[in-house]
Amino acid sequence: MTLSQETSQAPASSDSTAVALDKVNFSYGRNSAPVIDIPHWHVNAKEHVFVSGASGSGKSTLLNLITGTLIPQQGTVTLCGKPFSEVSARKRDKLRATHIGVVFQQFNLISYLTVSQNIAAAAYFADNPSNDIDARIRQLLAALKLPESILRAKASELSVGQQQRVAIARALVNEPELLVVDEPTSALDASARDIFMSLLRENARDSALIFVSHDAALASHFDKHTDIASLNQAGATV
Amino acid sequence: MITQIAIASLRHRLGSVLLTLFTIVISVSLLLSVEYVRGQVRDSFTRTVSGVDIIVGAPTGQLNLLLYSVFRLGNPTNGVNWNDVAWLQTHPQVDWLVPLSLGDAHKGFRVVGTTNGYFEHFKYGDKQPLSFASGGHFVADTSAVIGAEVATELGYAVSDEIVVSHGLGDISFQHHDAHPFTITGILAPTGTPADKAVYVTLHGIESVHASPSPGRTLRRTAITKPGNDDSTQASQDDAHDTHRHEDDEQHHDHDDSHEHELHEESHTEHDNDSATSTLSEAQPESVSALLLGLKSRVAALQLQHQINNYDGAALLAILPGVALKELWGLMGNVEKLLLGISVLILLSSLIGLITLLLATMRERRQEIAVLRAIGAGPATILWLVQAEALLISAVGCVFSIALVSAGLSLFSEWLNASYGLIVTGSLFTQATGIVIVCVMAATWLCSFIPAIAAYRTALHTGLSGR
Ligand SMILES: Nc1ncnc2c1ncn2[C@@H]1O[C@H](COP(=O)(O)OP(=O)(O)OP(=O)(O)O)[C@@H](O)[C@H]1O
Ligand SMILES: [Mg+2]
Repeated sequence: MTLSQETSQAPASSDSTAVALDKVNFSYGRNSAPVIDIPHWHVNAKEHVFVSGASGSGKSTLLNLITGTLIPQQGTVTLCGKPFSEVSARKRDKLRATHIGVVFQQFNLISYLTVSQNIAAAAYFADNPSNDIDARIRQLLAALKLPESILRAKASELSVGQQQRVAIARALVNEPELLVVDEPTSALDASARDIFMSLLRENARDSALIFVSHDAALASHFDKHTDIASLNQAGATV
Repeated sequence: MITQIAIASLRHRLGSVLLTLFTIVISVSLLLSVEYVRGQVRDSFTRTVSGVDIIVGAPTGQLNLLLYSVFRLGNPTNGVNWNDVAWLQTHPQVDWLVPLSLGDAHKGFRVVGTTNGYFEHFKYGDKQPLSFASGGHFVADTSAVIGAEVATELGYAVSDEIVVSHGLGDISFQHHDAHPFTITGILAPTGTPADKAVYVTLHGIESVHASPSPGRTLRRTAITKPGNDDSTQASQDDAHDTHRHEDDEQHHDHDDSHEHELHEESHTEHDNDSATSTLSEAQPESVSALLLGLKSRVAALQLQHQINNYDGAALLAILPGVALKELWGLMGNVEKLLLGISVLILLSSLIGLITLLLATMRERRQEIAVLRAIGAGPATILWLVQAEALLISAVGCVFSIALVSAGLSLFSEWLNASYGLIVTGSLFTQATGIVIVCVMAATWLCSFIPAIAAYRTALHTGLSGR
């Protein structure tokens, strides 16, 4: 890579930084305008950050870059000290499996698998030994105030609120350093949203959390609030 | 875990999966049956004759000679003059010699005029000799031995009387009630054309030919060394039933000591029984074919060459093994066509499988996004789709094997009755194994089409499934 690691801000040491972006530039097509152009941004370990932004401002794109699902045309994304650009696609998938938990807006679960299978699948791809997984899953369900009886239920049989809570359990099963959450409450009503937010915050205490939403009202639940426009030079021009 | 997901995914789409499975079961079953029956036909084909080293006949073609002498198909074109082959009896390489006189029928079954040597020397399958289910070999000129199928189909038993008609028509208008044959033995089933024949003595077949059809005359000559001809030119062209006993007696007095062993066979069990035995050693003027057994198989090629270049008359000698191979080469084409059709049907059901999996791709974008989010690589998603295809095919193969096994055990009797196919052994043959491996390999190759589509989706799908 031709890019130097020097940044305008003091580079955080890798053990206290969950994720760091440097001179990241991303566009969907070769000829289209960049959606993301971030000189530098990092999230510290165990830090909970709320990123707000209008629809179409590039929030989901940013999360795809952070999880290594998308690769920026320029710049470096570093997860727990490991730059994505320096590892193979396979390693990138493995890094995501082991270090990141993901919750999206809806359809977080594979509908035809049971709740237990959905969570176990996440453990499987992270090479998490399956013998302690059962206990871990039960513990998570209890923490998320879900009855154990839903373990055998198909994901498609749950309410949307339950699905989102199972999604948190799934995201947390490997005890990831970073939790990435994309508008998880937009399909929930107000009370389900409040339950979700408090359960998320409680259970994500040991992880860094990047939470994106267009709903700035949720900002009160977080340590830090950033608007994507302030990070994103590209966003500023959109 | 991948298999678990694949199974769950298939159960989720049970309706369309079952339909696809159904087409695969049908096509794999078809393929298995065709391949199995093919193997069985080839087996029963090569089982038809063994232990015969050379077949001698008039110079037609090697297939023709094989077909009428062993498979009893088609008409023997010409007979071989006995005098032209008599020398083979004393040939140092020849162990035994069995003459066959063909061209007549009994109620649609071929009649074979032969000697008791046939029952002793003719072998089928893996050198298995013929055996009698009941009764025994010829004891008189009017004796007949029938194949297992003749017995079951016509309901004959030992000591029943039958009439042989001249010519091969199913219904002959020339019934010779004057010359009935008495069944002395019924052969045990062999699964070869031997089951479908009525065997009579050479003398008996001459009587049939002699009386009302002037086309064939018979000259009775004892089978002796050429030097002994004089003693046996006794009765000729006018051989009638009435003459038979005379002839028999005449031959029983015959001195066996210098006879070829062919005679010994016909005599062995009846020498002490000469009062009732009326089996003559008469020989026809001509025979349709000769079966030869050699003392050493190594000499077969050499003797074949010698017979084919015999100066006295035009003869054709064939090696049954070589001729069978050539015949199989011809028949094999039909089998190959059948196999080709089954392969095409399999292919179309595999296309159905691909279509099923491709059709699910749209609804699977979400699922792929989830799998990507939890760290599944595109290769994993490719493999997941392939696993689904392979699972369907594997289950299809299992059902097919069960279906075909059941079908075979249900229809084996019918196959045997209608086509003389003896369905032996289980379906678990090497051929079945090859079919299954090929089906799975074809499935795997075909599954790349939807799997690569899924792979590309995985590459381009972000976390939100867009
Ligand atoms: N797969 C894609 N291919 C091409 N363009 C895309 C793709 N995904 C997003 N975009 C474009 O990139 C821009 C940012 O999209 P993104 O999904 O990141 O926005 P967002 O902030 O998450 O919006 P929302 O709040 O509606 O989810 C949009 O203009 C969108 O049209
Ligand atoms: Mg979005």
